[in-house]
Amino acid sequence: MVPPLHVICPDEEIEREDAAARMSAALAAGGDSMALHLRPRSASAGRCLDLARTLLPAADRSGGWIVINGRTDVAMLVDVDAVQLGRGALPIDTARTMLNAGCAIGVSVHSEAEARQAAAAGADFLLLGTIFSTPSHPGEPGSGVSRIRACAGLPAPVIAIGGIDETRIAAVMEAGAAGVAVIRAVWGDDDPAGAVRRLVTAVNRSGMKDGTGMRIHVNGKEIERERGGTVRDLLEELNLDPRMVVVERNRNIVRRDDLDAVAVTDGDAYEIVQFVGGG
Amino acid sequence: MTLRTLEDLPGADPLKIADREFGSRLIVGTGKYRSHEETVEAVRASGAEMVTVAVRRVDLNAADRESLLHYLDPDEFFLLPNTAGCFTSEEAIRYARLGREAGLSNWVKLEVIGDQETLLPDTDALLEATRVLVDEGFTVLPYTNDDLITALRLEEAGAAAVMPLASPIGSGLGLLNPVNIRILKERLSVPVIVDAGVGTASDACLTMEQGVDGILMNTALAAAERPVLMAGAMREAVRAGRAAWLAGRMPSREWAVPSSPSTGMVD
Repeated sequence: MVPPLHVICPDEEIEREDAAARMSAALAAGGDSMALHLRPRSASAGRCLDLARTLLPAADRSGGWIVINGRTDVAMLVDVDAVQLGRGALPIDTARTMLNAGCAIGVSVHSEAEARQAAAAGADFLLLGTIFSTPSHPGEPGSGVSRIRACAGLPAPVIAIGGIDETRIAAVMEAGAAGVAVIRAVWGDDDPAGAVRRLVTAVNRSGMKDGTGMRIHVNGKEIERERGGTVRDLLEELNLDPRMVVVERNRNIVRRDDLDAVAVTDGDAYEIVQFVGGG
Repeated sequence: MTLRTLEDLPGADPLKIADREFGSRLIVGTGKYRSHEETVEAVRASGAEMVTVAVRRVDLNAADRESLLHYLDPDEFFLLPNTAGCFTSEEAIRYARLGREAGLSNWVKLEVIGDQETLLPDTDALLEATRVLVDEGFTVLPYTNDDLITALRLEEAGAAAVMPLASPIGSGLGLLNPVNIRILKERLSVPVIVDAGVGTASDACLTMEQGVDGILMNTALAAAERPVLMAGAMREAVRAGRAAWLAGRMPSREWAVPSSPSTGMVD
Protein backbone atom coordinates (compact mmCIF):
# COMPACT_ATOMS: atom_id res chain seq x y z
CA MET A 1 0.00 0.00 0.00
CA VAL A 2 1.26 3.46 -0.90
CA PRO A 3 1.91 5.52 2.25
CA PRO A 4 -0.46 8.49 2.63
CA LEU A 5 2.12 11.18 3.48
CA HIS A 6 4.77 11.99 0.87
CA VAL A 7 7.53 14.32 2.00
CA ILE A 8 9.55 15.67 -0.90
CA CYS A 9 13.17 16.71 -0.41
CA PRO A 10 14.27 19.33 -2.97
CA ASP A 11 17.90 20.25 -3.75
CA GLU A 12 18.24 22.60 -0.77
CA GLU A 13 17.42 19.73 1.58
CA ILE A 14 19.52 17.12 -0.24
CA GLU A 15 22.55 19.39 -0.18
CA ARG A 16 22.38 20.28 3.51
CA GLU A 17 25.22 18.91 5.59
CA ASP A 18 22.78 17.55 8.16
CA ALA A 19 20.43 16.13 5.51
CA ALA A 20 20.74 12.52 6.66
CA ALA A 21 19.97 13.38 10.29
CA ARG A 22 16.96 15.56 9.39
CA MET A 23 15.55 13.01 7.01
CA SER A 24 16.11 10.07 9.38
CA ALA A 25 14.25 11.96 12.10
CA ALA A 26 11.39 12.64 9.68
CA LEU A 27 11.24 8.97 8.69
CA ALA A 28 11.16 7.88 12.32
CA ALA A 29 8.32 10.32 13.00
CA GLY A 30 6.33 9.28 9.94
CA GLY A 31 6.47 5.54 10.53
CA ASP A 32 4.89 3.41 7.84
CA SER A 33 2.59 6.27 6.88
CA MET A 34 5.38 8.19 5.19
CA ALA A 35 7.26 8.13 1.89
CA LEU A 36 10.38 10.27 1.68
CA HIS A 37 11.10 11.53 -1.86
CA LEU A 38 14.61 12.50 -2.89
CA ARG A 39 14.15 14.95 -5.77
CA PRO A 40 17.56 15.95 -7.12
CA ARG A 41 17.48 18.59 -9.84
CA SER A 42 20.81 20.38 -9.56
CA ALA A 43 22.00 18.04 -6.78
CA SER A 44 24.29 15.29 -8.07
CA ALA A 45 23.19 11.71 -8.63
CA GLY A 46 26.11 10.60 -6.44
CA ARG A 47 24.93 12.69 -3.50
CA CYS A 48 21.42 11.34 -3.96
CA LEU A 49 22.68 7.75 -4.09
CA ASP A 50 24.77 8.18 -0.92
CA LEU A 51 21.85 9.71 0.90
CA ALA A 52 19.46 6.95 -0.18
CA ARG A 53 21.90 4.32 1.08
CA THR A 54 22.35 6.12 4.37
CA LEU A 55 18.61 6.44 4.89
CA LEU A 56 17.63 2.87 4.04
CA PRO A 57 18.14 1.46 7.59
CA ALA A 58 15.99 4.26 9.03
CA ALA A 59 13.26 3.49 6.50
CA ASP A 60 13.51 -0.23 7.26
CA ARG A 61 13.06 0.46 10.94
CA SER A 62 10.11 2.79 10.51
CA GLY A 63 8.42 0.87 7.72
CA GLY A 64 8.39 4.02 5.60
CA TRP A 65 9.32 4.33 1.92
CA ILE A 66 12.21 5.96 0.13
CA VAL A 67 11.34 7.23 -3.35
CA ILE A 68 13.82 8.46 -5.93
CA ASN A 69 12.43 11.17 -8.19
CA GLY A 70 13.45 11.26 -11.84
CA ARG A 71 16.66 9.26 -11.60
CA THR A 72 15.78 5.69 -12.53
CA ASP A 73 19.53 5.03 -12.77
CA VAL A 74 19.97 5.86 -9.09
CA ALA A 75 16.96 3.73 -8.15
CA MET A 76 18.56 0.76 -9.92
CA LEU A 77 21.59 0.95 -7.65
CA VAL A 78 19.89 1.01 -4.29
CA ASP A 79 16.93 -0.99 -3.02
CA VAL A 80 14.36 1.82 -2.75
CA ASP A 81 10.61 1.34 -2.57
CA ALA A 82 9.60 3.47 -5.55
CA VAL A 83 10.66 5.86 -8.29
CA GLN A 84 8.73 8.97 -9.19
CA LEU A 85 8.71 9.82 -12.89
CA GLY A 86 8.14 13.45 -13.85
CA ARG A 87 8.29 15.48 -17.01
CA GLY A 88 11.16 14.37 -19.21
CA ALA A 89 11.65 11.06 -17.39
CA LEU A 90 11.68 7.63 -19.03
CA PRO A 91 8.39 6.01 -20.08
CA ILE A 92 6.81 3.77 -17.43
CA ASP A 93 7.28 0.47 -19.28
CA THR A 94 10.94 1.25 -19.97
CA ALA A 95 11.58 2.16 -16.33
CA ARG A 96 9.81 -1.03 -15.24
CA THR A 97 12.25 -3.23 -17.17
CA MET A 98 15.17 -1.55 -15.39
CA LEU A 99 13.91 -1.67 -11.83
CA ASN A 100 13.68 -4.41 -9.19
CA ALA A 101 10.36 -6.25 -9.22
CA GLY A 102 9.29 -4.78 -5.88
CA CYS A 103 9.94 -1.17 -6.86
CA ALA A 104 6.74 0.83 -7.35
CA ILE A 105 6.43 3.57 -9.98
CA GLY A 106 4.76 6.88 -9.31
CA VAL A 107 4.04 9.37 -12.06
CA SER A 108 3.61 13.13 -11.81
CA VAL A 109 0.49 14.32 -13.63
CA HIS A 110 -1.12 17.73 -14.02
CA SER A 111 -4.50 17.05 -15.61
CA GLU A 112 -7.20 14.46 -15.73
CA ALA A 113 -6.04 13.42 -19.21
CA GLU A 114 -2.45 12.90 -18.04
CA ALA A 115 -3.71 10.99 -15.03
CA ARG A 116 -5.78 8.61 -17.16
CA GLN A 117 -2.88 8.04 -19.51
CA ALA A 118 -0.44 7.27 -16.69
CA ALA A 119 -2.90 4.97 -14.91
CA ALA A 120 -3.52 3.09 -18.15
CA ALA A 121 0.25 2.77 -18.68
CA GLY A 122 0.57 0.98 -15.35
CA ALA A 123 1.57 3.67 -12.84
CA ASP A 124 1.31 2.39 -9.26
CA PHE A 125 0.37 5.83 -7.94
CA LEU A 126 -0.11 9.34 -9.25
CA LEU A 127 1.19 12.60 -7.86
CA LEU A 128 -1.55 14.96 -8.97
CA GLY A 129 -0.83 18.71 -9.04
CA THR A 130 -1.17 21.50 -8.70
CA ILE A 131 -4.08 21.53 -6.27
CA PHE A 132 -3.41 24.88 -4.58
CA SER A 133 -1.06 27.57 -5.81
CA THR A 134 2.39 27.31 -4.28
CA PRO A 135 5.60 29.38 -4.20
CA SER A 136 7.50 26.47 -5.76
CA HIS A 137 5.44 26.89 -8.96
CA PRO A 138 4.83 30.67 -9.17
CA GLY A 139 2.25 31.83 -11.67
CA GLU A 140 0.55 28.45 -11.78
CA PRO A 141 -2.96 28.69 -10.40
CA GLY A 142 -4.24 25.82 -8.29
CA SER A 143 -6.82 23.50 -9.81
CA GLY A 144 -8.67 23.08 -6.51
CA VAL A 145 -9.96 19.76 -5.28
CA SER A 146 -12.20 19.23 -8.34
CA ARG A 147 -9.22 17.75 -10.18
CA ILE A 148 -8.84 15.19 -7.39
CA ARG A 149 -12.52 14.27 -7.68
CA ALA A 150 -12.14 13.73 -11.42
CA CYS A 151 -9.22 11.36 -10.93
CA ALA A 152 -10.32 9.59 -7.76
CA GLY A 153 -11.87 6.60 -9.54
CA LEU A 154 -8.75 5.68 -11.52
CA PRO A 155 -7.01 2.36 -10.81
CA ALA A 156 -3.91 4.18 -9.44
CA PRO A 157 -4.27 5.95 -6.09
CA VAL A 158 -4.01 9.73 -6.21
CA ILE A 159 -1.57 11.61 -4.01
CA ALA A 160 -2.41 15.31 -4.07
CA ILE A 161 0.38 17.89 -4.31
CA GLY A 162 0.60 21.66 -4.35
CA GLY A 163 0.21 24.08 -1.47
CA ILE A 164 -1.08 21.45 0.95
CA ASP A 165 -0.68 21.97 4.67
CA GLU A 166 -2.36 20.57 7.76
CA THR A 167 -5.44 22.77 7.38
CA ARG A 168 -6.16 21.60 3.82
CA ILE A 169 -5.71 17.87 4.34
CA ALA A 170 -9.32 17.15 5.30
CA ALA A 171 -10.69 18.75 2.09
CA VAL A 172 -8.18 16.98 -0.11
CA MET A 173 -8.82 13.57 1.42
CA GLU A 174 -12.56 14.10 1.34
CA ALA A 175 -12.30 14.69 -2.43
CA GLY A 176 -10.88 11.18 -2.80
CA ALA A 177 -7.12 11.53 -2.51
CA ALA A 178 -5.30 8.52 -1.07
CA GLY A 179 -2.72 10.83 0.42
CA VAL A 180 -0.86 14.13 0.16
CA ALA A 181 2.62 15.28 -0.82
CA VAL A 182 4.27 18.24 0.88
CA ILE A 183 7.55 20.13 0.85
CA ARG A 184 7.35 23.33 2.86
CA ALA A 185 4.83 22.01 5.38
CA VAL A 186 7.71 19.85 6.67
CA TRP A 187 11.01 21.48 5.71
CA GLY A 188 9.75 25.00 6.35
CA ASP A 189 8.98 24.03 9.95
CA ASP A 190 11.48 24.59 12.77
CA ASP A 191 10.79 21.02 13.85
CA PRO A 192 10.38 18.90 10.69
CA ALA A 193 9.84 15.66 12.65
CA GLY A 194 7.09 17.31 14.70
CA ALA A 195 5.48 18.58 11.49
CA VAL A 196 5.57 15.06 10.03
CA ARG A 197 3.86 13.71 13.14
CA ARG A 198 1.05 16.28 12.89
CA LEU A 199 0.58 15.69 9.16
CA VAL A 200 0.47 11.90 9.58
CA THR A 201 -2.17 12.25 12.26
CA ALA A 202 -4.20 14.60 10.07
CA VAL A 203 -3.95 12.34 7.02
CA ASN A 204 -4.81 9.18 8.94
CA ARG A 205 -7.68 10.85 10.73
CA SER A 206 -9.19 12.08 7.46
CA GLY A 207 -8.78 8.66 5.93
CA MET A 208 -11.08 7.11 8.48
CA LYS A 209 -14.76 7.54 8.32
CA ASP A 210 -16.51 7.52 11.66
CA GLY A 211 -19.41 5.15 11.84
CA THR A 212 -18.43 3.04 8.87
CA GLY A 213 -16.61 0.48 11.00
CA MET A 214 -13.10 -0.81 10.63
CA ARG A 215 -11.26 -4.00 11.31
CA ILE A 216 -8.02 -4.15 13.19
CA HIS A 217 -6.03 -6.95 14.76
CA VAL A 218 -4.95 -6.85 18.38
CA ASN A 219 -2.69 -9.65 19.61
CA GLY A 220 -3.81 -11.81 16.74
CA LYS A 221 -7.50 -11.26 17.38
CA GLU A 222 -9.73 -9.39 14.93
CA ILE A 223 -11.63 -6.50 16.44
CA GLU A 224 -14.30 -4.41 14.77
CA ARG A 225 -14.54 -0.79 15.78
CA GLU A 226 -16.94 1.98 14.98
CA ARG A 227 -14.37 4.74 15.07
CA GLY A 228 -10.69 5.24 14.65
CA GLY A 229 -9.46 7.43 17.44
CA THR A 230 -5.91 7.32 18.70
CA VAL A 231 -3.88 4.46 20.10
CA ARG A 232 -4.53 5.84 23.58
CA ASP A 233 -8.29 5.60 22.88
CA LEU A 234 -7.78 1.97 21.85
CA LEU A 235 -5.96 1.17 25.11
CA GLU A 236 -8.73 2.80 27.11
CA GLU A 237 -11.36 0.76 25.30
CA LEU A 238 -9.41 -2.41 26.07
CA ASN A 239 -9.18 -1.33 29.69
CA LEU A 240 -5.38 -1.28 29.64
CA ASP A 241 -3.16 1.04 31.63
CA PRO A 242 -0.77 2.74 29.16
CA ARG A 243 1.96 2.74 31.82
CA MET A 244 1.84 -1.04 32.12
CA VAL A 245 1.98 -2.01 28.44
CA VAL A 246 4.02 -1.45 25.31
CA VAL A 247 2.28 -1.11 21.96
CA GLU A 248 3.56 -2.12 18.56
CA ARG A 249 1.52 -0.89 15.57
CA ASN A 250 2.22 -2.63 12.27
CA ARG A 251 5.54 -3.80 13.70
CA ASN A 252 6.64 -0.34 14.80
CA ILE A 253 6.73 0.57 18.46
CA VAL A 254 4.40 3.42 19.38
CA ARG A 255 6.27 5.47 21.95
CA ARG A 256 4.36 6.42 25.07
CA ASP A 257 4.66 10.09 24.15
CA ASP A 258 3.04 9.38 20.81
CA LEU A 259 -0.02 7.45 22.00
CA ASP A 260 -2.16 10.53 21.43
CA ALA A 261 -0.60 11.37 18.10
CA VAL A 262 -0.96 8.04 16.32
CA ALA A 263 -4.31 7.28 14.75
CA VAL A 264 -5.87 3.83 14.60
CA THR A 265 -6.56 3.04 10.95
CA ASP A 266 -8.39 0.29 9.13
CA GLY A 267 -6.33 -2.87 8.77
CA ASP A 268 -3.83 -2.00 11.50
CA ALA A 269 -2.20 -4.87 13.37
CA TYR A 270 -1.28 -4.29 17.01
CA GLU A 271 0.80 -6.20 19.47
CA ILE A 272 0.22 -5.10 23.04
CA VAL A 273 2.69 -6.62 25.47
CA GLN A 274 3.55 -6.43 29.14
CA PHE A 275 6.07 -7.87 31.57
CA VAL A 276 5.27 -11.33 32.88
CA GLY A 277 7.22 -13.75 35.05
CA GLY A 278 10.28 -15.11 33.26
CA GLY A 279 13.81 -16.36 33.82
CA MET B 1 35.71 -0.89 53.09
CA THR B 2 37.94 -3.73 54.22
CA LEU B 3 36.88 -7.29 53.69
CA ARG B 4 37.68 -9.42 56.70
CA THR B 5 34.52 -11.19 57.81
CA LEU B 6 31.45 -12.58 56.08
CA GLU B 7 29.49 -9.66 57.49
CA ASP B 8 31.62 -7.26 55.40
CA LEU B 9 29.89 -8.67 52.32
CA PRO B 10 28.25 -7.28 50.29
CA GLY B 11 29.29 -3.69 51.01
CA ALA B 12 32.97 -4.39 50.39
CA ASP B 13 32.36 -6.59 47.39
CA PRO B 14 29.55 -5.32 45.17
CA LEU B 15 28.73 -6.83 41.77
CA LYS B 16 29.54 -4.22 39.12
CA ILE B 17 27.97 -4.51 35.68
CA ALA B 18 28.24 -1.61 33.22
CA ASP B 19 27.50 1.52 35.24
CA ARG B 20 25.57 -0.16 38.05
CA GLU B 21 26.45 -1.84 41.34
CA PHE B 22 24.46 -4.56 43.05
CA GLY B 23 24.79 -5.64 46.67
CA SER B 24 23.67 -9.19 45.87
CA ARG B 25 25.48 -11.50 43.47
CA LEU B 26 22.31 -13.53 43.03
CA ILE B 27 19.96 -12.61 40.18
CA VAL B 28 16.61 -14.38 40.09
CA GLY B 29 13.91 -15.01 37.52
CA THR B 30 10.20 -14.64 38.10
CA GLY B 31 8.78 -17.46 35.98
CA LYS B 32 6.79 -20.54 36.98
CA TYR B 33 5.72 -19.46 40.47
CA ARG B 34 2.24 -20.37 41.66
CA SER B 35 1.18 -16.78 42.16
CA HIS B 36 2.38 -13.18 42.01
CA GLU B 37 2.44 -13.17 45.82
CA GLU B 38 4.72 -16.19 46.00
CA THR B 39 6.97 -14.67 43.32
CA VAL B 40 7.57 -11.52 45.27
CA GLU B 41 7.99 -13.32 48.58
CA ALA B 42 10.64 -15.64 47.10
CA VAL B 43 12.41 -12.78 45.34
CA ARG B 44 12.62 -10.86 48.62
CA ALA B 45 13.87 -13.93 50.48
CA SER B 46 16.62 -14.43 47.89
CA GLY B 47 18.02 -10.98 48.59
CA ALA B 48 18.36 -10.41 44.83
CA GLU B 49 18.32 -6.84 43.57
CA MET B 50 18.23 -7.68 39.88
CA VAL B 51 15.19 -9.63 38.72
CA THR B 52 14.43 -10.93 35.24
CA VAL B 53 11.05 -10.66 33.52
CA ALA B 54 9.69 -11.79 30.15
CA VAL B 55 7.76 -9.81 27.54
CA ARG B 56 4.48 -11.36 26.42
CA ARG B 57 1.14 -10.41 24.88
CA VAL B 58 -1.48 -9.02 27.20
CA ASP B 59 -4.27 -11.58 27.48
CA LEU B 60 -7.29 -9.64 26.28
CA ASN B 61 -9.69 -12.29 27.55
CA ALA B 62 -8.29 -12.60 31.07
CA ALA B 63 -10.57 -11.28 33.74
CA ASP B 64 -7.66 -10.68 36.07
CA ARG B 65 -5.45 -8.10 34.41
CA GLU B 66 -3.28 -7.43 37.40
CA SER B 67 0.19 -6.86 36.06
CA LEU B 68 3.33 -8.35 37.57
CA LEU B 69 4.49 -4.75 37.93
CA HIS B 70 1.84 -4.23 40.59
CA TYR B 71 3.80 -6.70 42.72
CA LEU B 72 7.38 -6.14 41.64
CA ASP B 73 8.01 -2.48 42.33
CA PRO B 74 10.62 -1.16 39.87
CA ASP B 75 11.82 1.13 42.67
CA GLU B 76 12.59 -1.90 44.85
CA PHE B 77 14.04 -4.22 42.19
CA PHE B 78 16.06 -3.62 39.07
CA LEU B 79 13.96 -5.37 36.40
CA LEU B 80 15.84 -7.03 33.57
CA PRO B 81 13.66 -7.91 30.55
CA ASN B 82 14.66 -11.07 28.70
CA THR B 83 14.16 -12.29 25.15
CA ALA B 84 13.25 -15.83 26.20
CA GLY B 85 11.48 -17.86 23.56
CA CYS B 86 13.18 -16.10 20.64
CA PHE B 87 14.73 -18.30 17.96
CA THR B 88 16.16 -15.68 15.58
CA SER B 89 18.21 -12.55 16.09
CA GLU B 90 15.44 -10.45 14.50
CA GLU B 91 12.90 -11.78 16.98
CA ALA B 92 15.22 -11.21 19.92
CA ILE B 93 15.94 -7.65 18.77
CA ARG B 94 12.21 -6.98 18.47
CA TYR B 95 11.59 -8.25 22.02
CA ALA B 96 14.53 -6.26 23.37
CA ARG B 97 13.11 -3.07 21.87
CA LEU B 98 9.67 -3.81 23.32
CA GLY B 99 11.22 -4.41 26.73
CA ARG B 100 13.14 -1.15 26.60
CA GLU B 101 10.03 0.78 25.64
CA ALA B 102 8.55 -0.07 29.03
CA GLY B 103 10.83 2.72 30.13
CA LEU B 104 12.72 1.11 33.01
CA SER B 105 16.22 0.80 31.54
CA ASN B 106 18.09 -0.09 28.38
CA TRP B 107 19.31 -3.42 29.80
CA VAL B 108 18.39 -6.74 28.26
CA LYS B 109 19.07 -10.37 29.08
CA LEU B 110 19.59 -11.61 25.56
CA GLU B 111 18.56 -15.16 24.70
CA VAL B 112 18.48 -16.60 21.22
CA ILE B 113 17.57 -20.25 21.44
CA GLY B 114 18.83 -22.69 18.81
CA ASP B 115 17.07 -25.89 19.80
CA GLN B 116 13.68 -26.56 21.35
CA GLU B 117 14.70 -29.71 23.25
CA THR B 118 17.87 -28.48 24.95
CA LEU B 119 17.21 -24.72 24.84
CA LEU B 120 20.88 -24.31 24.01
CA PRO B 121 21.78 -20.95 22.49
CA ASP B 122 22.24 -20.23 18.78
CA THR B 123 25.57 -18.50 19.22
CA ASP B 124 25.78 -17.06 15.69
CA ALA B 125 22.41 -15.37 16.05
CA LEU B 126 23.29 -14.34 19.60
CA LEU B 127 26.44 -12.55 18.43
CA GLU B 128 24.56 -10.83 15.64
CA ALA B 129 21.80 -9.64 17.97
CA THR B 130 24.39 -8.50 20.54
CA ARG B 131 26.13 -6.33 17.94
CA VAL B 132 22.88 -4.73 16.77
CA LEU B 133 21.60 -4.05 20.29
CA VAL B 134 24.92 -2.69 21.58
CA ASP B 135 24.90 -0.39 18.58
CA GLU B 136 21.41 0.78 19.57
CA GLY B 137 22.65 1.68 23.05
CA PHE B 138 21.46 -1.40 24.95
CA THR B 139 23.36 -2.86 27.89
CA VAL B 140 23.41 -6.47 26.71
CA LEU B 141 23.75 -9.51 29.00
CA PRO B 142 23.80 -12.53 26.67
CA TYR B 143 22.94 -16.06 27.82
CA THR B 144 25.45 -18.35 26.14
CA ASN B 145 27.05 -21.76 26.45
CA ASP B 146 30.31 -22.35 28.32
CA ASP B 147 32.45 -21.99 25.20
CA LEU B 148 35.40 -19.62 25.63
CA ILE B 149 35.57 -18.46 22.01
CA THR B 150 31.91 -17.47 21.89
CA ALA B 151 32.32 -15.70 25.22
CA LEU B 152 35.33 -13.74 23.94
CA ARG B 153 33.44 -12.72 20.81
CA LEU B 154 30.47 -11.59 22.87
CA GLU B 155 32.79 -9.48 24.99
CA GLU B 156 34.37 -8.05 21.85
CA ALA B 157 30.89 -7.27 20.51
CA GLY B 158 30.25 -5.09 23.54
CA ALA B 159 28.35 -7.37 25.94
CA ALA B 160 28.30 -5.84 29.45
CA ALA B 161 28.57 -9.30 31.02
CA VAL B 162 28.68 -12.82 29.67
CA MET B 163 26.27 -15.41 31.06
CA PRO B 164 27.33 -19.00 30.42
CA LEU B 165 25.11 -21.87 31.49
CA ALA B 166 25.95 -24.30 34.29
CA SER B 167 23.72 -26.88 32.56
CA PRO B 168 20.58 -26.60 30.38
CA ILE B 169 17.79 -24.20 31.37
CA GLY B 170 15.44 -25.71 33.93
CA SER B 171 17.46 -28.95 34.19
CA GLY B 172 18.74 -28.54 37.75
CA LEU B 173 21.81 -30.59 36.83
CA GLY B 174 24.19 -28.18 38.52
CA LEU B 175 27.62 -27.10 37.30
CA LEU B 176 28.61 -29.66 34.66
CA ASN B 177 31.91 -28.19 33.56
CA PRO B 178 33.67 -26.19 36.28
CA VAL B 179 36.89 -26.15 34.24
CA ASN B 180 35.29 -24.29 31.33
CA ILE B 181 33.68 -21.81 33.65
CA ARG B 182 37.02 -21.13 35.39
CA ILE B 183 38.74 -20.64 32.03
CA LEU B 184 36.02 -18.20 30.97
CA LYS B 185 36.38 -16.24 34.16
CA GLU B 186 40.15 -16.07 33.82
CA ARG B 187 40.07 -14.85 30.23
CA LEU B 188 37.19 -12.36 30.24
CA SER B 189 37.36 -8.80 31.51
CA VAL B 190 33.60 -8.30 31.77
CA PRO B 191 31.69 -10.00 34.61
CA VAL B 192 30.80 -13.68 34.21
CA ILE B 193 27.34 -14.57 35.50
CA VAL B 194 26.46 -18.25 35.45
CA ASP B 195 22.93 -18.48 34.10
CA ALA B 196 20.78 -21.62 34.20
CA GLY B 197 21.13 -25.15 35.49
CA VAL B 198 21.73 -24.61 39.19
CA GLY B 199 19.48 -27.03 41.11
CA THR B 200 20.16 -26.62 44.81
CA ALA B 201 22.25 -24.66 47.29
CA SER B 202 25.42 -26.78 46.95
CA ASP B 203 25.36 -26.16 43.17
CA ALA B 204 25.19 -22.42 43.76
CA CYS B 205 27.98 -22.54 46.32
CA LEU B 206 30.23 -24.69 44.11
CA THR B 207 29.58 -22.35 41.17
CA MET B 208 30.52 -19.25 43.15
CA GLU B 209 33.66 -21.03 44.38
CA GLN B 210 34.92 -21.05 40.77
CA GLY B 211 35.33 -17.28 41.11
CA VAL B 212 32.48 -16.17 38.87
CA ASP B 213 30.82 -12.84 39.52
CA GLY B 214 27.28 -14.00 40.07
CA ILE B 215 24.53 -16.51 39.36
CA LEU B 216 21.16 -16.15 37.67
CA MET B 217 18.55 -18.75 38.55
CA ASN B 218 14.81 -19.25 38.35
CA THR B 219 13.56 -22.84 38.31
CA ALA B 220 15.70 -23.88 41.30
CA LEU B 221 13.52 -21.58 43.39
CA ALA B 222 10.16 -21.75 41.62
CA ALA B 223 10.14 -25.54 41.30
CA ALA B 224 11.29 -26.23 44.88
CA GLU B 225 8.62 -27.58 47.19
CA ARG B 226 9.05 -24.48 49.34
CA PRO B 227 10.29 -21.73 47.02
CA VAL B 228 10.65 -19.08 49.73
CA LEU B 229 12.78 -21.37 51.89
CA MET B 230 14.94 -22.37 48.91
CA ALA B 231 15.35 -18.69 48.04
CA GLY B 232 16.84 -18.09 51.49
CA ALA B 233 19.10 -21.13 51.09
CA MET B 234 20.35 -19.78 47.75
CA ARG B 235 21.04 -16.39 49.26
CA GLU B 236 23.25 -18.03 51.90
CA ALA B 237 24.89 -20.40 49.39
CA VAL B 238 25.86 -17.62 47.01
CA ARG B 239 27.24 -15.58 49.89
CA ALA B 240 29.13 -18.57 51.29
CA GLY B 241 30.55 -19.54 47.89
CA ARG B 242 31.66 -15.99 47.19
CA ALA B 243 33.24 -15.63 50.61
CA ALA B 244 35.04 -18.97 50.24
CA TRP B 245 36.44 -17.87 46.91
CA LEU B 246 37.62 -14.57 48.33
CA ALA B 247 39.04 -16.30 51.40
CA GLY B 248 41.25 -18.52 49.22
CA ARG B 249 40.85 -22.21 49.88
CA MET B 250 43.63 -24.41 51.29
CA PRO B 251 45.51 -26.55 48.81
CA SER B 252 44.12 -30.07 48.51
CA ARG B 253 46.44 -33.05 48.80
CA GLU B 254 46.18 -36.81 48.61
CA TRP B 255 47.51 -37.64 52.08
CA ALA B 256 46.46 -36.65 55.53
CA VAL B 257 48.21 -33.89 57.43
CA PRO B 258 47.45 -33.81 61.15
CA SER B 259 45.70 -30.73 62.43
CA SER B 260 46.94 -31.18 65.96
CA PRO B 261 50.57 -30.80 67.08
CA SER B 262 52.62 -33.96 66.58
CA THR B 263 54.91 -32.95 69.45
CA GLY B 264 54.14 -32.75 73.16
CA MET B 265 52.43 -36.14 73.30
CA VAL B 266 52.53 -37.75 76.75
CA ASP B 267 54.58 -40.91 77.25
